[in-house]
Amino acid sequence: MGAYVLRRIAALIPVLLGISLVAFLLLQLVPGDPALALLGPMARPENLAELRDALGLNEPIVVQYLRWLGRVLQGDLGTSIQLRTPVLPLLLERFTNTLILTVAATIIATLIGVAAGVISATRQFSLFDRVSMILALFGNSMPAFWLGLMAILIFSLHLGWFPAAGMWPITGERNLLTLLHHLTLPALTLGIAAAAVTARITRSSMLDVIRQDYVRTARAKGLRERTVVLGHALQNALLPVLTVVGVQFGFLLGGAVLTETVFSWPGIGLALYNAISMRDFPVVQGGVLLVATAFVLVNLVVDLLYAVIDPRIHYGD
Amino acid sequence: MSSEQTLAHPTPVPTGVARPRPQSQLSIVWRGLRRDRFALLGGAIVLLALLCALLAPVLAPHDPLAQDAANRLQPIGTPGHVLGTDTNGRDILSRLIYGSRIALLVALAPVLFSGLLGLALGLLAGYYGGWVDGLIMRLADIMFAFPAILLAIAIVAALGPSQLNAIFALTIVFVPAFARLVRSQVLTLRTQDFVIAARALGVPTWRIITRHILINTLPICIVFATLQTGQMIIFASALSFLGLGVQPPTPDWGAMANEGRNAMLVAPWVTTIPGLAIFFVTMGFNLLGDGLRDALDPRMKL
Repeated sequence: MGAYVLRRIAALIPVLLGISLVAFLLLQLVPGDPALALLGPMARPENLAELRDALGLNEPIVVQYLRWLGRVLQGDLGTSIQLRTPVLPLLLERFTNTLILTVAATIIATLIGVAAGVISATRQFSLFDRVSMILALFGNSMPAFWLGLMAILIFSLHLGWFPAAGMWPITGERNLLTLLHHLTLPALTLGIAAAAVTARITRSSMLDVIRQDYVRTARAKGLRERTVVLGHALQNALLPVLTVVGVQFGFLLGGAVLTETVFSWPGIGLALYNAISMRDFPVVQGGVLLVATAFVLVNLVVDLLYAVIDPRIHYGD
Repeated sequence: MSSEQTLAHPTPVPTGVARPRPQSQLSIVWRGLRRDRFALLGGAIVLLALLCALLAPVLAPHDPLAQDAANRLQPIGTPGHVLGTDTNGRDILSRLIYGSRIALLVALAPVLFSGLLGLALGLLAGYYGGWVDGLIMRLADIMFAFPAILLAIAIVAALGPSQLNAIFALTIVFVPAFARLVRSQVLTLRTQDFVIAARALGVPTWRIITRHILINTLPICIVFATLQTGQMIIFASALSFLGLGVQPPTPDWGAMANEGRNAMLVAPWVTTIPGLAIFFVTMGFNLLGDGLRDALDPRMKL
């Protein structure tokens, strides 16, 4: 197991280097002179020259990448053009807020998705199965930004149950309750599409498992249906679901850009959106790098969990 | 003789007796689709969207760009404006109909391009293996490390917001998924007897790839492309919603939903209607894709 963990972490290095290369190249995609793009057409020539020098734009591109990578490894993601502050602390603060939203959405997606998938599979072709699969199809076909707008329209503007924007009340106390109050709509919006995918995968995985011999044996020896489903079938059906939850987490991190924009949730997505409209490229670059790294690390954790949970898997020991 | 034995040892058909005509895969798929009501519904929605796009100038009652300040935010059912008007007094129905052109173009073009690129890369990786496979798959791994929508947003943000750049970004983002799918298919196919036999007979490699392998990967690619088109419509509209795709005043569903945000309390239809259009067309492609998958092979894991 220890060797597997080490190998898995070692395999991560080229991927992380690749991510850094893509993030670096993003800035190279900006048409024309990056310094001009960063400072705008009104920039003074001396400021442009200074920035070109600071960004190392006069060096060969390989040298530029290695210098940039060296700085990134030391935690220096550059300076925000708009706010004139270092990018990393700015993004890390926002990233915590995104994690709150994403984790909440993942919990919602997993709870709804696994429950709906298990019930659908155990009662295949029942009314519940049909309705939940149609709802899963709806969830999978609905643009999250629009679902968010509809949620705001109904639950904020008309019913007044939840706030339409932000993470905390503008005035008043900041506690867990006010956070949850603000979190409900964005987390539901973000989680519903993921719940749809999780439900479909749990259902098909559960259907595969239910037909296995050991489940039939468990039934035949007179175990209660509840024990058969939860104790024997679900435990094994959850393995593919775990992988999906890991992938979904990344999908939700990406989807957070839209949800945060709709709900003005002060996360990394909103920071990215604002940075894009201000053409603040170091923030865009840093944000992309941070989210991709987080995604890769989550998938590593999922892979390792997989090895712990599934007794059939022995990784090269 | 039991039916199982009949299957295992079919009685030789005497010469001179007409054999049943072999069925093409297309006719089998069509028969499967015809029985699937949901797939037919999906197909009908997709067809409707295609017709709207093709016949937009005939179907649209108004110029989608014509502004009418005196008739801003007219509600649904207003005479002359069945679906009302937007914040600039433009006819929503006409914009919706013209918007189907953009929605389908920005969704289908990346699916086509990423499909072709993915097919080529997947065939190369799967058939040749070795360092070619290693290189292509490591590149795919790196691309998979980015949440797709985030990478698309970042690419368009760097290149500058436009319809063409949105198509480019979405193409790049979806290539790895296609390549990985095709590769896995090729890896299974290349060890099949008919491929080994063709190789033993000295059939040239390019012919094995095109006539034996490519042709057998196409069904799963078509199913995947159909399902991807649904997701692509959501992605493309999301880019426009963020102001990164099609630029105003071109009618685009994502941009239309965004334009109505500020007037949502007084005129919710401006945002609701384009969102419903995205939802229905995406659902159409999803239903059609699910139906195609079931008709081709219900056990297909997609």
